[in-house]
Amino acid sequence: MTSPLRRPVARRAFLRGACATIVAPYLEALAPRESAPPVRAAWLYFPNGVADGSWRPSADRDGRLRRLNKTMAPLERHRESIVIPQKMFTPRGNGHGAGTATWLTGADWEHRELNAHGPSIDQVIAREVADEHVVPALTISARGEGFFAADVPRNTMSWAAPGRPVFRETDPRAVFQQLFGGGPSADTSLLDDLKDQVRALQRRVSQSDRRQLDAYLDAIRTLERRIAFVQDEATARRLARASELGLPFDPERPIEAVPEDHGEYLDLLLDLVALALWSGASRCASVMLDHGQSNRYCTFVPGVRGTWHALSHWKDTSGKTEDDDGVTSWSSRGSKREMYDAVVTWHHERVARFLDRLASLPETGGSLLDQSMVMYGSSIADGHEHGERDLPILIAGGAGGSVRGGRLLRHRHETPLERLHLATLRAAGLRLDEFGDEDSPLDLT
Amino acid sequence: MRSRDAVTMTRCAGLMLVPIIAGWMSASAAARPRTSCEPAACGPAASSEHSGVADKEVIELLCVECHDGPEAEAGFDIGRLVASEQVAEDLFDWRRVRAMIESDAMPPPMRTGRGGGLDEEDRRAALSFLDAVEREAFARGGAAGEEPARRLTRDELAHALQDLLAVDLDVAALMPPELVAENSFDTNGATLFIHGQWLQRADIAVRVAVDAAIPDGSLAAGRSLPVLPALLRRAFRRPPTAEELERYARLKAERLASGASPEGALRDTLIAILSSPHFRLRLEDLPPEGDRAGGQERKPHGAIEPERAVSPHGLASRLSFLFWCAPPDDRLLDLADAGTLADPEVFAAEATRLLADPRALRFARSFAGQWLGTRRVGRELKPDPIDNPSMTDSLMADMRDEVARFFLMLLREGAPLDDLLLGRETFLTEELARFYGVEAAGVGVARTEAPERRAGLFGKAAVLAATSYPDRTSPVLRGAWILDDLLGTPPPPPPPGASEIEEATFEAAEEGGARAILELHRASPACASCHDRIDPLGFALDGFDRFGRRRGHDDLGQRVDERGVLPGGPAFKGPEALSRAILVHRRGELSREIARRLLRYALGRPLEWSDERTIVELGAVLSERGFGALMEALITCRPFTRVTIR
Repeated sequence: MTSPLRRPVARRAFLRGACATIVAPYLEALAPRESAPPVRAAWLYFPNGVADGSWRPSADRDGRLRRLNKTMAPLERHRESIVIPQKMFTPRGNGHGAGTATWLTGADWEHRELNAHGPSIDQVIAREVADEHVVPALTISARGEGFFAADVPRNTMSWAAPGRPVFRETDPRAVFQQLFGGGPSADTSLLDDLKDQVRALQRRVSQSDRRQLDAYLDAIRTLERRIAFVQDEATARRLARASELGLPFDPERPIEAVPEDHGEYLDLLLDLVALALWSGASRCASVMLDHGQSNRYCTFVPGVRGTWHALSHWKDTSGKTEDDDGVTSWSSRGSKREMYDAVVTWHHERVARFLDRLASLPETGGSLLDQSMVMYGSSIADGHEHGERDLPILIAGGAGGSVRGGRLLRHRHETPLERLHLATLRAAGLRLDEFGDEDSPLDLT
Repeated sequence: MRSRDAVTMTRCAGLMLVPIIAGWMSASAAARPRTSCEPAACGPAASSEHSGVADKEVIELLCVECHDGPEAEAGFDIGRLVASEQVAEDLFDWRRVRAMIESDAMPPPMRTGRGGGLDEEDRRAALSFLDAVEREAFARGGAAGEEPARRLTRDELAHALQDLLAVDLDVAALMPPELVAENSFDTNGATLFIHGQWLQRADIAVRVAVDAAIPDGSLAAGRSLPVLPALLRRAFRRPPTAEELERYARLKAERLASGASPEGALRDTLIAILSSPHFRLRLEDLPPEGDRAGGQERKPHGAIEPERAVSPHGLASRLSFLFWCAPPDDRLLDLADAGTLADPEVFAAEATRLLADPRALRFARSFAGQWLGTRRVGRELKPDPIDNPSMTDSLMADMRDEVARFFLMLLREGAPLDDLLLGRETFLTEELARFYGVEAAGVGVARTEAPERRAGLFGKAAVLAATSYPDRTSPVLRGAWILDDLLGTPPPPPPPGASEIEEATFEAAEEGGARAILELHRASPACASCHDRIDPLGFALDGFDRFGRRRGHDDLGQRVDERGVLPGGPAFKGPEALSRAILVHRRGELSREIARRLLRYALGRPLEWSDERTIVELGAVLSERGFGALMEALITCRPFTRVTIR
């Protein structure tokens, strides 16, 4: 893909090159036409799909959502902010690996080269607003468990460039430090010196090594941006209110440990995402609620036995198959499907809580949810069938007026995910002609 | 076949063949049944004189019908290969063809109207063509290969801090785990990505280690000035430049002048040194600016690109990062400074010294643990502690270390290849001995003769646990592990829709236990082409449970039946017979795969077709002369001692 960005952004031009003058919360000080806070974007991914039918809502003839699917009950309270597009698809091969790796790139997966032909949508945005945020695109993932916990495609949604996956942080303490420091504070003169050393090296290495050194310089700049961000007055003003708004930014109670409880752990990560977006530390965020083929034992969900991936193959109930762990078995397809649904519903609860959080955070002219576009879903349709058509996907949030919620989009034809990505890019203010092979954004207004 | 196995096999498989059953069906329906060679089509191939062209025709005739163009089955375009002139560059793809033909996995049964695979004549013709491909590729002379400017891995950084600062503190846990490509290692420069979080976490690790070192007095003891040049040399793995010496001396003086305590000034200086890209990236072998060849450039006969010898300091680092996962010590650096390290005898002696050092266990843990998958035991693969109270963290650490120590012993003692699968000597702690049901030989880790059933890799609890699911064993998983990680002939992932096929067979077989289920699913032609190769190997290890304990009954309560068969080889019963069968009938594959993995680990880059010659040579050394000769050949081979100039 990589069609060139066409828009020279005035605001960005104003900021570029002045990395010490990061505009932290979107303020107020900008020209009137630009005064609306920018649209924030988030992508929340869950693995292993949903049982066929468990994403289907009830809607009237005009597509107004009457009720979400009963397995999506936790999200019901956000129904009016939600759009469910049907027949979204991404035909990239195995949805666990290739589907995960290309979920946000809209390109093909080259296994041997570990290449999803990025950049992914979050990195396209990040590139555009690189100088305005500490971590323009925050990338987070739940700690992996079981097989594939270190596998590249199943753990990678964001790509800075073809063959360059973006690291995903799993530790809430490290996420916090990434955004606000709090670890050993970086020393600006040391960073300047390091930049000099890297630049001197760039003159001596080969072309391919120069890319590595570019990455090194980028990494140093990230630390510099953070220093500028936390020293910014507007940041300080906003963060002073964070704690009372329920965000995990509390000088009295710093994040000291990773919560043992998986739900608390995910909630904390998602709270940090909300904090990053609201404080202006990040413009967008991608979150993997688990890796692309999670074999996590989901026994923390009441009534559930077995691993998530085994449950997703709900039509096999024997428990003796190679897919299962051989100990857990299910009495019927129905009961196994119920457990599969329950695991997905449990994750819907986390996401609903995240949307609650966005809705509770004040932003010029409304809430952060009004100013955000959240895509939530999976890279597999029915888990047992490994389906790649009619993916479970929803969009939540008003995207600054670009998305009109409470609707089911009935598509007559298969609709590539890239069209949704293109719509997100447009809502985020990027004037891109195409993303992936698609040039027509999904109409969500 | 359940998709969990799809998973497993994708994990194990280097090949990404995705045969589509429907595609096979239609292809076979359309194709004429071909049970013997038709004279008009491949007469020359059937004659005793195989010309390369005619041999190629066999492949064209039997493979290209399905594997052609953009719509090729499994996305594997053999049509392109056949038409291509770049035989050498296509070597990897030709090897996929070879693996399928050698194992009779292709052409599929529906295509040939027989049990799968080629008939004897066609097979011989195809293999002789593929031999010619190998020869031509080798004749091209290969290339030394590039050395990527990779960063230190998480483990290397942690060990480097331990060694440089002389602190007994493992800071690896402060850094995120490395992502790894399938069948590869964390040392692979292609996956050692550099990003802000890596920089930040490494900064934290550095500061924690420095803070631990300074109160120790090991560095602070009033000798700070003379220490600086020595420390810089070890951190940067080469003599520091005058400018570098001046920079850090000045930094320290500035800190002192601004009122910092001697410890504080030293601390800041150490942090600055350990933050430098010269420490965190492998750049010790960088030629001076404007001279990419480092004063020497040569294009060996047949080589595609010019190359140069790795500098003495580059060699010192390659050796120490290989065997110690850390920078060279002063002795190695002295030899590099003096320019004598490149002397083959000196270099070999240094390798022996490094291997004999206790730090070599880091290498064995890292390499063997990643190669065999045993590093995951007790980490990513963790049994439920409540249901399995006997599987303590310390026991699982002992299990992992047993494999590392066993492997290291083979290297140090120059054992023959056979000992890998049959050697009885091993290393048990009291807890592990109790777990194996044998008498502990002493306190701590003791070298012991293991019981017969524990000989070689197949008797090691960590291997058996690493090839099981958390709650059960799987002959499929173990068989696929042998084919992939030991023999380098991974089975392809199961075709989409495989689970439906199995579901039907499954209900019929429910009564008969695991073997009956698998026997049945192998009766399905679509599954059989792979499972005939996979399952019988795994069954030989069925006498061990998911943690590697001996057992008489399998997970479904059936009596264990350890009979199996090596595809195209003999039938056998039990792990020892399997080991012997592999050592006789798959010796070449086994030794080449070990060589391939070691080379991949040591070079820290993906292997190219141009490395195949080295792999074959190293494999032959291992097969004939054992592990000692292999290590010597590895550290003197062309890709390890030379580098392509680009």
